[in-house]
Amino acid sequence: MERRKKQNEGLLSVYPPPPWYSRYFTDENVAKVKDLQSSDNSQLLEAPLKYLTPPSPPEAGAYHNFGDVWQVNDKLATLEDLGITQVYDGAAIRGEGQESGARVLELKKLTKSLLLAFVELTGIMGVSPEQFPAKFEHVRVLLINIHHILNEYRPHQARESLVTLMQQQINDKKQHVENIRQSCDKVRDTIRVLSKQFDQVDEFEETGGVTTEEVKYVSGKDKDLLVVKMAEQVL
Amino acid sequence: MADRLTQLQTCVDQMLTQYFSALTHINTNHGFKSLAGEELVKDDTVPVVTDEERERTLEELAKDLVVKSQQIDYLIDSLPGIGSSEEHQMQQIEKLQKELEHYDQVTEDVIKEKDELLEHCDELILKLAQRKAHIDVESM
Repeated sequence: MERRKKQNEGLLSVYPPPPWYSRYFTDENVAKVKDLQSSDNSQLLEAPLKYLTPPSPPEAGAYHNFGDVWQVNDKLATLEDLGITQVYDGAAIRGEGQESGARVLELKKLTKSLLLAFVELTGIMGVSPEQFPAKFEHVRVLLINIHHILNEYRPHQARESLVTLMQQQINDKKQHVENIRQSCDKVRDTIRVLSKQFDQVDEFEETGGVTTEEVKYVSGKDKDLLVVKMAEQVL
Repeated sequence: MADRLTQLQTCVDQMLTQYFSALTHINTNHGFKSLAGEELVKDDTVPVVTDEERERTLEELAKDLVVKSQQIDYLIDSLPGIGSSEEHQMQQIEKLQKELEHYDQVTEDVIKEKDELLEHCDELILKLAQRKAHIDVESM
């Protein structure tokens, strides 16, 4: 009783005080719990010591957060749960139906029905406006059905997006590898050309005569200069 | 850009808004008819609309609704992955996962190759520089 009162006080103040169990977090208690846990006696924790260990997360049911109720197991509530008549063929769009595009068909049926329902509603409003609630309910049910069928499709779209993203990533990687390979080839070619010219000059040195057109008129120590110049040119 | 499903849902909601505006428009812009020889009712709060004008706006409203419906149909047809089953998608994802890992390996190899080549280049440049320095000294 006393505890409840304290909690209520907490809700009323502008800045809520720490939760009531915080006063059990004394150095002494913390040490005791540690001791007990290390000796595998954690099951035997009793109040107030059991307040020191966090409870295990809930596995089912609902919880409140930011003024809304959330399901612990996050799943799309079925229309039945929401108390709405399901007007589309649920079995057709699941399993086999996904491949044959049955969902497209059902969706189109729904949108056509929606348009028709609206036209009917307009007609009713013109002739006997007091009868509109029934037709209005039709429109409402149809709309909820459309939104539901689309939301059901979300996981499918998520997988599809993942596939697209992965394909994109693979293409990027391919391009990346290709770019590196090209640069490598270019560098390798340059080196090959250069070393060929080096060889020519070396040959020139060995024979002491004319070997190729390029080094025809070069003699003495100029040949090394020529190599350097060639290298600069190629680079 | 929003995904297709959200686009589609937005479109449906927009259509609903159109329904509402259409009804509201008809409700506020109508003429009066005399019933059983009674005198025609007059209401200053209701704007006077000629029959032609009314017909025109009605047609416009209808056309807008049709266009919107066509948009929705188009979006339904272009829903992503409408032709593939969940099983097929999972297989595809698995396959792509393997491919991605393969390309990670390839990238690693290529980068290694590149580093080696770079090292080789460093060596060559160093060699060249030494040779040049040698010539410079000799020619001085």
